[in-house]
Amino acid sequence: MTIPTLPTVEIVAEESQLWGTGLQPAGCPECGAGFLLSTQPAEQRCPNCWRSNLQAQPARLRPEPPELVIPFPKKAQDYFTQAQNFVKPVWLRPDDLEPARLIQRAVPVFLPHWLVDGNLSGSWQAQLGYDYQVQSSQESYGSSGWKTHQVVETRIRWEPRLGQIARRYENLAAPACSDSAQLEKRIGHPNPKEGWPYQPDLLYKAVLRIPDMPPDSAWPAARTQFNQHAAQDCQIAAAGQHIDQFSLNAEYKALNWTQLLQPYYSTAYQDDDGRLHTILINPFSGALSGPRLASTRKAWLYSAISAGIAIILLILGAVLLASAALAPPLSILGALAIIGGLAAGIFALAPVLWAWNWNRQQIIIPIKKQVSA
Amino acid sequence: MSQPTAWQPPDGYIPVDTQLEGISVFAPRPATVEKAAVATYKCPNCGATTQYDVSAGGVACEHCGFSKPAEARRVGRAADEFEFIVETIAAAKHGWGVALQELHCDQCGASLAIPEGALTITCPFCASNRVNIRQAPADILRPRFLIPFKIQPAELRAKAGVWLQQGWFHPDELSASAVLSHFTGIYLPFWTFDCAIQAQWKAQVGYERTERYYDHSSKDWKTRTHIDWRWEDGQVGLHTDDLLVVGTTHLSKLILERVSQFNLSELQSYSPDFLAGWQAQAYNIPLADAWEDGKETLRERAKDACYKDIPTSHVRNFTMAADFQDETWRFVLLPIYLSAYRFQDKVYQVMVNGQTGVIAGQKPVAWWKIWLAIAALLSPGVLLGLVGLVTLIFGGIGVIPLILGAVLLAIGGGLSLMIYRQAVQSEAA
Repeated sequence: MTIPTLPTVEIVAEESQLWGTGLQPAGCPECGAGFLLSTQPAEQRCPNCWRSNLQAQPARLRPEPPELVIPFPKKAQDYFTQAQNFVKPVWLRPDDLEPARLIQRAVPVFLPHWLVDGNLSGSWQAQLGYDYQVQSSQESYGSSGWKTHQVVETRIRWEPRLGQIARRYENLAAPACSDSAQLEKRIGHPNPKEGWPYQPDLLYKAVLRIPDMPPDSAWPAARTQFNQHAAQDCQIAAAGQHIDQFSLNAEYKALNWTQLLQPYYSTAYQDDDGRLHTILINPFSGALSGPRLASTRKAWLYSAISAGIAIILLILGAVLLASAALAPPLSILGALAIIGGLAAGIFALAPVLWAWNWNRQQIIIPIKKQVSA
Repeated sequence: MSQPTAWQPPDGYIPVDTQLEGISVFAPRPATVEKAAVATYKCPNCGATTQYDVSAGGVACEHCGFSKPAEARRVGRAADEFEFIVETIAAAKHGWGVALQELHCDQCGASLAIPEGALTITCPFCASNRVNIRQAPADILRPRFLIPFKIQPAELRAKAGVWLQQGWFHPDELSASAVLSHFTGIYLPFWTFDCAIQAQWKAQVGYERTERYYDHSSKDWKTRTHIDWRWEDGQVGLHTDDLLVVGTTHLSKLILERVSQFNLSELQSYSPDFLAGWQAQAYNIPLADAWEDGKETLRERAKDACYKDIPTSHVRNFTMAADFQDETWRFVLLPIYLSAYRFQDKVYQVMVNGQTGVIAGQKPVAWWKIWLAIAALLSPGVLLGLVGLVTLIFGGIGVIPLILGAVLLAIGGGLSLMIYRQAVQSEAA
């Protein structure tokens, strides 16, 4: 198998005007992610890590505009209900974790993917599965004698098939950013069929991630896409219902690399310690994802208040019990105060334990420092 | 786009239809479906008709002594089995072609009418033997396995003579006047079935409990048995290997069942050589109908197994479900000798298992012997009962012979019934 000729990138100066728009390259000094912006970089928080404002800087990228753009289906404000549902389960949430603030901060972002066209030719072989039906039966015996119930089962007959393939594939998406796989788990896989031919208007003043995986790094993933499509086609060609053990000895020629832009919203909130946590919104499903941390400060506060009430009630109960010798009915009040004090003491543990357990279940994705391609 | 030309498919692969442009598809060459051609048996030395000879274990010529072993291999119980594929069941329903076909004898030019279901024929004019004269409805349904004849025709007369002499309730003159001289060897169609059954049962099971109670009438403590009923359930697994079901309605099922104990570990792959000069019959009970027969037997076995799983004999409200799994079948030809004899103007059928020599058939019954035997069996009980009744008038001692008489009558009645059934079965076909 030969490695095809892959395109290269070039350095774009920080003041460049790209793709028929006023887009300028910028980068995050904290996480290293590269972006293209239509606003002033200093006014834009990094939508990747939210730890710093972006800074204008030159970037390495391909100069030609993307081939396809998947447009944003809705505005950020339209996801308010989803944001409410997202924060609702957090009982003791930080003050900043509010639906309105999340929506207000939401930044539209485009994640780039490589779109690869090319000719695949070679030989293939696989086990093809063909469905067939067999008749079986279930018999039951009761007071009315035997009853038969015919059952038809579908089974698979596996047969070897092989042959040659010479097909052209277009618009196969491959990751262009090193964290694409992680992001796709949260915002879904891009479907190039939903993409529109690039027009500057489609960018919607969004922030564009700059690929940090050049085509030679993305080629293994692109080749996997070619092979998966070839396997599907071979299954269709051999008229099988299933395919297994597919192997391909192929050459990939006339490769054409362009880009597909996939939209998502990025927003953030501050925890008790002032750390910002990134929340992503899948614009198609409306699902929000990211760590939802409980406020441990609030938890300790509620616990302390409950403990204080418990101590007061216990002291009061003890005093009332001691006074019972003078006025016996006070013993009832004393006993009630002791019980109330014990209950408040037990409840005092709840906020802290709940917050600790809740935060333990949240997955905080570490943001790696990225090196622009 | 041009396809590389250097690539060649491996040996044994052939191109098949492709559903997509730009992709070629190759598949293993299918096993050649042998359209069983009509085979004629002629001696290569002297040109006389040859046929399968049991003692030689192959095709032999009576005239010049030429002999050639049958081209087959022993497969035993490992013989291929097939699933109940819906298409196969449908194909099996079509049967084996028309009821009567004509075949042109290439030896003497005569036109031969083929009897219904026959797989072989011998030309009545030139005595040439032909095999594979009828095509199966599907390749999977052609005979693939058989057990060749092991019992030689010469042994049959002596066996039949001994068999005719057996049994006391047949006419005395039977062995002397009945003649069993001509036996026809025929390969009969059978289906074999394998399957696993998972059966779940549920029932009220009764457990006996002995309890003491005070009997006010006799003013005494006594014991009695009480049954405690409780719901129980269980599971039973059953595996059946090679259940034989006959595939033809042309012969007596009753007699066939008595001789159909075959040793299937001697199954051989099908070769027309085995059929040369012998008769062979195609099935006329289709696969689905035969399997229904087989299932009736198997589900009763499953029911028996469930009852055995129940720890007591007290069972009521019994229900069960049997799930059949991994069902497979095969179609085999098995050797049977057929014969008939005439006795007092009535014809009686006889069959001999061509592999084991087990013989069974119809035999006339001397009914006067049966009635005499029944009378002899019942009379002690009746007589003792009468004695008991008479002596009862004179005193209490009559009770003992009366009870003994009843016991003897019951035993005699049971034995009489058994003898009567045997006699009826002996004449039945």
